[in-house]
Amino acid sequence: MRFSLDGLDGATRTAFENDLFAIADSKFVLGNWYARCILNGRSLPDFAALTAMTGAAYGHTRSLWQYLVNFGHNYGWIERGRDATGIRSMNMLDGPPADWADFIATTWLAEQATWMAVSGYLYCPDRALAGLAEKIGEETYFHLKYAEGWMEIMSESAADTRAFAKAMEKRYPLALAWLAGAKGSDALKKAGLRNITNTKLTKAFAAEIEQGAAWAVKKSALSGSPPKMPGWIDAHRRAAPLPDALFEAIRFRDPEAAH
Amino acid sequence: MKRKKIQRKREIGGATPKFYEVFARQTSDDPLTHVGSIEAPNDALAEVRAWYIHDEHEWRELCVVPTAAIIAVTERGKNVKIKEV
Amino acid sequence: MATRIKEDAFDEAAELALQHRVKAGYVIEDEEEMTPRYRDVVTNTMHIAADLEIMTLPVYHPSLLEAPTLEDRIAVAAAIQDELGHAQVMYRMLEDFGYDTVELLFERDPSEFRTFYMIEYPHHDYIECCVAMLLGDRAGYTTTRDLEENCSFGPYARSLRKVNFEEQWHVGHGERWVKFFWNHSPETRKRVQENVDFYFPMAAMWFGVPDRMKTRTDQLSYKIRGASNDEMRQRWLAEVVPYCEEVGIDIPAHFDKEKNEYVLDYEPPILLNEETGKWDYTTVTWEEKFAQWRKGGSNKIPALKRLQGECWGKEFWKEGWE
Repeated sequence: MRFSLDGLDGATRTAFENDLFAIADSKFVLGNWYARCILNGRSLPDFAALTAMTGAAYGHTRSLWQYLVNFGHNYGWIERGRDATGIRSMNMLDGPPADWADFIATTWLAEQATWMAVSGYLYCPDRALAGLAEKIGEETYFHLKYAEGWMEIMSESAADTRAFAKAMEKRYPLALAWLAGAKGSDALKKAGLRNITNTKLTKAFAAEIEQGAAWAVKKSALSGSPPKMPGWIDAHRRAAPLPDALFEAIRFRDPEAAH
Repeated sequence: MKRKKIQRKREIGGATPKFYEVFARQTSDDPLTHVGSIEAPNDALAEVRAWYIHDEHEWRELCVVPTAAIIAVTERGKNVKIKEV
Repeated sequence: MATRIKEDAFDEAAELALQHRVKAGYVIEDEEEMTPRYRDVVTNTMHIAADLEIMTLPVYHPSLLEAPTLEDRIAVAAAIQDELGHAQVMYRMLEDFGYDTVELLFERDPSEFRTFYMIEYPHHDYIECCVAMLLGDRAGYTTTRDLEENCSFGPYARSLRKVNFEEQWHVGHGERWVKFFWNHSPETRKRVQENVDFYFPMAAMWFGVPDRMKTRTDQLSYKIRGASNDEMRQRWLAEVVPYCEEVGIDIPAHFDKEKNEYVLDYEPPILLNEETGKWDYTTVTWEEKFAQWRKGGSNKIPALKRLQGECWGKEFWKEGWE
């Protein structure tokens, strides 16, 4: 039986749409992080890897935005019609990276968090989305490996280790807030769209991070519960609109050439 | 903007780079062939770099071997390293 | 240090012998087979190629940020990734000859990079990027096709198979999108023409001075390449002129039926007025042209400084569009 959104009740459909927007928009901002960090690369292979990850993140974004057309949106509106109040990326990516360690820590967290969210759809009855989840998984493997390789390098320097720990303490709670803040998403498991509850997903993420960051950060230093954020919008899974500087950096310009 | 200061020992594997040889095959009946040589300070980055730099085909199998692990049996030319196919 | 040992008759004979062998089709696989001059010529060629490839990164980068749709950003990222792969191959080969990539990329003074004038200006937007692919990638592709076919140094020639496959895609991409923007709107048509006006003379001079002026013929003697500057320029014109005429783009070149070859409508060399960004079609002296090339395009030093530097915090979001 072909999957159809029409079979879902209003609340489930909304939760589904919100989850996909949160993932897609976060991927979009992540793509911009990679794009702007290419020139900060520290070797020729680094330049190549950062460029490849830019393309991959943007590719995931496009596939997810195209899927969101199923909910009745115009693609052009999704891509270019929303302003700073309409972009639903995670707050964790709002502040620019302070240094290389912060860049690695934050992109690693963003890759882990978005992958946790996407992986729930690997067995989705909509085979198109399941296939997309699988592809994202294959590519995420390399993005995570890149971060791991750099963590190994940073572990050999006390200064880098401290910088990474500092970044983790700042960024990790915001990643947790994004995952834990998926209100109504347990309806997704109930409807059979996802094979995991949000609580389990968030716990799996925390375990993964604790293990992966253990070389730099003690488990106790990572905040247990997500912070309360003023101006939080449930549907958007973020607090407040995108900061001006970020929106200006990521938005599509040159409408004359748009097609 | 500040100048990059590349820490050779940590970032490239020493005063001179650490190398890995890349082997791959496209289908199950292809032999595993040497497709190139990349630099990386550790196995994780070697994996990633081999993947992104050798994206000319969809490989069925791709692997990397530290060049230091290769034992030359016959020696040709100044360099003992495997030459690119 | 001792004064340079004068080449004696034996060394000169060895050089000539190698020239004969490569002309007869012999392919060199190993540094040990190279005479000193052959080694100089081939490493010099590869060094220039390597520097040109890495220069594409900071030059294309602004258009990655400014591309008008997600699909276009993905296309620019793919093109940059290809060029970085090419750079990787070139610098890796140079390492086999004793060069140090960290030193070459991150410690060398930007003024020492061996780049061409055309690749010393930034691509401000996607239309400029596509015109650069149409004209500039095509110029590079003309060179690399000749190298793959003719280069007597086996590893270099073979490494160009992948390069040429990808450059062909870049040229095709440029052709497709320049035509698209030419027909998209009056505004984008104007922008295409402006960019072609800016880049055409630079791309035409990618192949260097006219043959009659070349004093050193080592690249041809050692069969590092097969075609001369003028021959490659002809090949490039033979592709660019028909394409531009078909689309309707105005260019300062045409096919001369009497001479039975493509000719430029002006007599090189000519100078770019750096203030107005427009070409002055008055013929000047080669000394003046060399001086402009030595000075370099406005973006050369800033682009390479950016590559050698790092930008964080507030500045991270500001680059490219301010």
